[in-house]
Amino acid sequence: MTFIDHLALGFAAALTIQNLAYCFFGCLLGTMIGVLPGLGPLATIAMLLPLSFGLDPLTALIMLAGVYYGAQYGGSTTAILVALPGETSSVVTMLDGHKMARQGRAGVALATAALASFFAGCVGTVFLAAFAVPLSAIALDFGPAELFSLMAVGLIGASAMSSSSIVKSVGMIIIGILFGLVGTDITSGANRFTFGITDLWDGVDLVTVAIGIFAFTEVIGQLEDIDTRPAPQSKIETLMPSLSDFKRMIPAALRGTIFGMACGALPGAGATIASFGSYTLERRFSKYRAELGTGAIEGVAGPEAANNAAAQCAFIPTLTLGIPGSGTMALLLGVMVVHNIQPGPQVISSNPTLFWGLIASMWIGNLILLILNLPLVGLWVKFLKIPYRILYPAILVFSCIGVYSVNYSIFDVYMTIVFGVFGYALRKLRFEPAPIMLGFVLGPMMEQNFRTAMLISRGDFGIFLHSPISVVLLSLGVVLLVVMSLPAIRKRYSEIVSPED
Amino acid sequence: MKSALRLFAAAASIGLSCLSLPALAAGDFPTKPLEIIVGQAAGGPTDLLARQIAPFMAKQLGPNASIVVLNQTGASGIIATTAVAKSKPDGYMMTLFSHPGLMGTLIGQDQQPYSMASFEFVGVITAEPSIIFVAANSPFKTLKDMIAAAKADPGGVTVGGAGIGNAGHLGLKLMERKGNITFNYIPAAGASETATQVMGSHVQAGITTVSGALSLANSGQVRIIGVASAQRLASIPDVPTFKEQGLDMEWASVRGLATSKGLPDDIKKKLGDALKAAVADPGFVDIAKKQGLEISYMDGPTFAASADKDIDLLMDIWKTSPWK
Repeated sequence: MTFIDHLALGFAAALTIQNLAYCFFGCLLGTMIGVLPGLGPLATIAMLLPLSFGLDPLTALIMLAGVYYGAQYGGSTTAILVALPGETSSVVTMLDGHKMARQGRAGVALATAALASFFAGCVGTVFLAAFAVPLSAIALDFGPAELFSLMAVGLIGASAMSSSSIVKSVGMIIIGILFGLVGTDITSGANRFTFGITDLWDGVDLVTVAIGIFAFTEVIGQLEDIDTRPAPQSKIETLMPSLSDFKRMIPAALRGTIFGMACGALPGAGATIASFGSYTLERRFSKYRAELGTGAIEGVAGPEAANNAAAQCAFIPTLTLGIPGSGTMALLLGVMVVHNIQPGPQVISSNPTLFWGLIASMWIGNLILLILNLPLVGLWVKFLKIPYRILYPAILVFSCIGVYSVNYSIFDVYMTIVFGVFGYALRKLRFEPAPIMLGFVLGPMMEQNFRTAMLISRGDFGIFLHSPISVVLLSLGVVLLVVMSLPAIRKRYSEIVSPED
Repeated sequence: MKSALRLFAAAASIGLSCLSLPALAAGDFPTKPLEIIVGQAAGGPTDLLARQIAPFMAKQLGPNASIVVLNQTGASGIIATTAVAKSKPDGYMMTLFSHPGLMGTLIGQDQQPYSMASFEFVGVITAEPSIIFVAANSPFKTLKDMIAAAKADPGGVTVGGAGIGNAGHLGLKLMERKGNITFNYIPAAGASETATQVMGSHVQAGITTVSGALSLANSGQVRIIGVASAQRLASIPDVPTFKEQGLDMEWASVRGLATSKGLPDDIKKKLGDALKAAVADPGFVDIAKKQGLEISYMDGPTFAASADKDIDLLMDIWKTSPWK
């Protein structure tokens, strides 16, 4: 059978009334939970699990997959409108998206997010269909040593993320890494920086940092100049992007899509890293990199494309290796196993209807999400007209509910408040907080992979030089470091990156 | 957003009404939804088991009974377990525990928020024997090969497993003692990470439970070379036991339900009977079988007695070779 025959088979399976209805339901639910902070696809899919056991396996997977990538769409909405990241991966979208909203371009930002996600989702699905099996074999070559090298390059590259000076952004990354170190050390089981507080044994939750440093800080900051600022945005310009917006959006979305697909295919990378990485790429390669951080459309299109592409491609290791890259994927794997479907390299030949049906449903799902989201843009933008005295308390209440719902922990709510105050202090001192998230996510993973590699080699650093993948990545990192530390280049660089300094 | 707000309001009001209802006599038990608190994230093996047993157990408790599964992650599950240990002994709050991790994660910690005596064990649902698995192209064909390699190069054989103080890690410690050998244990964040490392030949072997490797073995990506059960298992009939291969030990990850100490006898019996019947329910048996779960019902007191012995053994190993 050819590729086209396979697709025809898939569409025939996915286009039944029942499957379409469940696909729509999943996407709608996913968008809703994506909008709410904290409550993520993982908890939602877990709650839907008993329902899914009674369904046909393809229908169950179509519905649950819809929830999963629907959440990637929804997460950006509140990030753009009110600087409240609905999902961790939308923290990056917020950086420029919210600035755009403040400039009266909220509609454009939302439409860009939806269109870039749609584009990436479609391309990611083709990629998944065509290269799932060969790619998963490469992913297995990434052991602890290779993953360490990959993350080291990522951190080095990302130190240019912020629009302030390199020294400041390295400082922020290090603070992020320090927060990430709190909790039980996986390699020895010992507790670090927990100060006798049991709630800290599992470390600081990502959601508390993200919502504290961004949403809470934003609210505190806005209160400060509430008297001096004009009434809520009365002018909301065009809702849809203009032709020149499209011209700027397309290259960024392309870069984001490619990077996101690579992240999704690696077990353990995922949507958050994809969106951060894509922003870094924009900083380096975009024609308009000087505008990033001030409301550039690239800062929305790139990361949104990346996180959606990663979400689609995360199915690659799950379907073809039977290895889930995240908790959400583990649940989907569980659904397959309960229905007697054996994930693995042979899943495509042994269950062609399921595999191609799921692929086809992703296309349909992305289309449904676009149709669902574009008309909603007009509605969402009206949120900005809500008076601040109502909007801000509402943001705080929803944030607290969201944070609490992750672990049912009131301690996490207190932590969020602490991070909110901390974020406000950073804002006053003119530090860009975004690199904290990157250090927080990547630092502990990098440390764990480093120590696992050292355990395997019994203390021999040579393990990082034995594999060609690791050598290539580390060399890239060294080149980046040299380029960044050459004084002449650095001077020119800072002229480009931070014209205000 | 508005409808979501309503959803939250509704959820909150249900939660509040649960709190305010008075506890009645056992004849009426349960008068409100029961809770199973899971200390691990949604989607993990502990969480899945809780969600799978909950509807079958609720069916046994009466037509209006319902059981809610809540994930309260934190401190490797210790926060959730502590909450249940300190809860009112009325049978409404249970935890899905995993032995030997239940006490194993506390070994060597300064804080000891609970002990075996803090719990009333409702019963055991599954006992999943530990297995050793290797990549499909591994030179280790049997457990004997692996032990011989470890004897030739003490500490040179890398074995991956999930975390510290859990069934896999502690099982490997016991293997070292029984075989008088030393492995190089490589802890990972979870069972799937270990599987990735084994399949990519980054570690030489992995220790997990049957359900953690069954689908990978069925698709020919890994090979299971030994199982730590008394007899061979129906799900993997070709895999010899540890005993057959000269390592005299049995080891399993045991999962069941527990509530706090001091439960009235009649409620204790009602819960225990409900769990026993749920575990035997053909619907549950079917789901368990597909996932390679080894159902092994045991009543609470029997489990508590056998678990105490395991813990003594682990404390003894800790004394001679501590892992922190």
